[in-house]
Amino acid sequence: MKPKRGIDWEAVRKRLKESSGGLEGGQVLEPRRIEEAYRRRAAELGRANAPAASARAAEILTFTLGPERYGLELSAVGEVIPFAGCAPLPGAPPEILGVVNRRGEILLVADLARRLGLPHQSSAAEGIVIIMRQAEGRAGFRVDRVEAIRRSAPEELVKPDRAGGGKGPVRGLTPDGVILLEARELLRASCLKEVSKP
Amino acid sequence: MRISIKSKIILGFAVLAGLSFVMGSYGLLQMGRVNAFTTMISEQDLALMHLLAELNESRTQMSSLRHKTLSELLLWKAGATEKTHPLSQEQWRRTKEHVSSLLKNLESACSEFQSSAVNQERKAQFEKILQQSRQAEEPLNETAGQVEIYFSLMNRGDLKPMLAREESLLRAREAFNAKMGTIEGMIRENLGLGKAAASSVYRQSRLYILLVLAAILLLAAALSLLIQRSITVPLISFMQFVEGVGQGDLTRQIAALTDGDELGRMGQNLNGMVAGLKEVAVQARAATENLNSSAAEILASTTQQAASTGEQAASVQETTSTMEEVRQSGLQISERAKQLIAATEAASSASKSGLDMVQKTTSNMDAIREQAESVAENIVVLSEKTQAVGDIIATVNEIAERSHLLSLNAAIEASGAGEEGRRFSVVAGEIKNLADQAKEATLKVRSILGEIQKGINAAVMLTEEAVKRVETGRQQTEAADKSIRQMASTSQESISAFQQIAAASNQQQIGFEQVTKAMQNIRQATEQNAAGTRQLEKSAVNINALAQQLTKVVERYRV
Repeated sequence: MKPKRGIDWEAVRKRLKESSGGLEGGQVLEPRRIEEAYRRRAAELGRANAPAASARAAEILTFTLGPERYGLELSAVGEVIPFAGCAPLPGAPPEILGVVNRRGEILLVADLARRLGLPHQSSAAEGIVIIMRQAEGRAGFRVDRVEAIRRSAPEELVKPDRAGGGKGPVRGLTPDGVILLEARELLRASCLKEVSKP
Repeated sequence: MRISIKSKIILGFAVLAGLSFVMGSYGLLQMGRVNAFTTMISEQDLALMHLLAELNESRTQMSSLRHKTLSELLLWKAGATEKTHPLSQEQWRRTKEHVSSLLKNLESACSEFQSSAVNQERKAQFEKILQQSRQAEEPLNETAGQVEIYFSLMNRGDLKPMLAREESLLRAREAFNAKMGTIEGMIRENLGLGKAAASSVYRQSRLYILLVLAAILLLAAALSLLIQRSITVPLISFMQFVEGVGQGDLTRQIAALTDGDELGRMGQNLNGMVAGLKEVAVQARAATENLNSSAAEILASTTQQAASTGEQAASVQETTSTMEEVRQSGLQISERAKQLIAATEAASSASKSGLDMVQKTTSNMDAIREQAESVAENIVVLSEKTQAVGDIIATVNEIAERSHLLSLNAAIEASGAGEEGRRFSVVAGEIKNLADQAKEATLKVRSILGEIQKGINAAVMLTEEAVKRVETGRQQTEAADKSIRQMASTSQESISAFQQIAAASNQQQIGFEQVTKAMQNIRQATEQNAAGTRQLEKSAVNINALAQQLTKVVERYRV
């Protein structure tokens, strides 16, 4: 019944004490860590003051949709909100998931996967909605996850071949595998014509 | 031929005797015949000779008388006598009559003898003599006539005519004498014939006798040969047979050469004897074979018996030693039983203390279980608290997400706001960093929580296991309790059983000693049995040898 090796209860108690002490102590920010945070901020600020390495480098918001990583120009993006269900729109094409009320404004939410014609089916109550800037239109696209804002040089893009009439919305492929999408193209769907009024 | 040898021999002898008798009779007959023959011949001849002699005498007398007359005459003439004596003439006449009667006798004798002549020659001779004598009458009568004339002359005294007549007288007398001579000759011939006849008869008789003798001899020889054959041949075959039997050949049998007589019976008896011998030999052979096989069997069985007796003795020895071992082990058992009793009593007391220990252990187990259960409860509470922490972490995560989104939105706004937005983007970046850190932290916390949860689960499982083990332990303790009680009762039983064992072992010892004694007896008996069997074996060997000898003896006789 008892394990072969006896438990050193002293050592156990010591460890418990240490860990509970850690817990206790963790609630107070140690000055060391505060120092660390300040240093980091300063570095950031410094970096921010430096001129953009390439002025022409656009800021891209990367997100994931299924297994692929996509990107949209930050200038086209208005807001990013979590997707917590939307009111369905009867008679709407299947790309349209529904409408959502955002600060009193009714926005159309489309499934980016279906819009792109991807077979990716994701759970309808998850994900992030990327709401386009008002200049673009009052629509949002549901994606899985939003990652970060990055810079990408346009000359690094690998433009797709338009000979076969490929995906219209795809602008290109970044060196690290992000598929850059064209916002205007996305909004040029017939179902979104209604909302692509400027 | 169903005549016995005795009869045969007797018959043979009888036949021989008969034959001899016949022979003798025949001989005698022949002798008689010859005798009669010769007698007759001699008689006849004698008679004839007698007659002849008489005739001759008479003739002579006649002549002499004639001469006498002559001389008388002469004398008278001479004057010597006065007168011729007429007596002489009478005498001469009488003599002539005598001769004539003699001739007649001769004739009758001849005719008589002719009828009883012995053979044809004699008969013819007699006939001849008869004829001659008949013929002689004439000369006689002539002579008588002449003589009468003579006499008459004489009487007249006419000498000269008388003398002249003499010549014719003489002639007549010569004729008569010739005839008489012939007759004599014939008679003498007849004598010769008679002799010849006699000798021929004798020779004939001799021949006949010889023939008969020869025939008799042949017959006798044949008969004796027959008898001999009928006796010797069987006897020879018997001899051969008996010789063969003597040499041991019992396969042959005498063929019935002569049955019914003694030899036949002897042959049958010999056959019977040989058959009996054969049977005896066959039986003896069979019996000998049986004996042989029986002797061999006896020998084998005695050998086996000897072996088995030896085995028996060995096994008795083994048994004795085993019994000794068993006895020893019985002693040991008894000792051990006593030891076991002591040990069991110790075990009994130990089991009592064991029971106490078990009781304590049970209560300890219960305590452990309670503690384990309380530990489990604590852990469950811990788990719930972890759950709460998890919820909080979820909230934190959500905050992080929101912050992330917020930062993103801030960045988006900042990018649209231009220069002022740049400073704002720093703040946004800061927020993003915070959000990222928060996310990282939540991730870590989540992983740690996950680990804690796992640990809690493990701990709960372990505690559950511990409780189960405690339960098991308790059950085992209960089982141990039961078993100890059982053991205690069993040891009580064992104690009593061991006591019984000790008692039984003691009895067993007594029994073993008795068995050992009995084994001793058996061993003695077995040794005696072995000795007896050895004797038996020897006897069986002897019997076997004897049987072998007997076989050899019996094999002498071939059947």
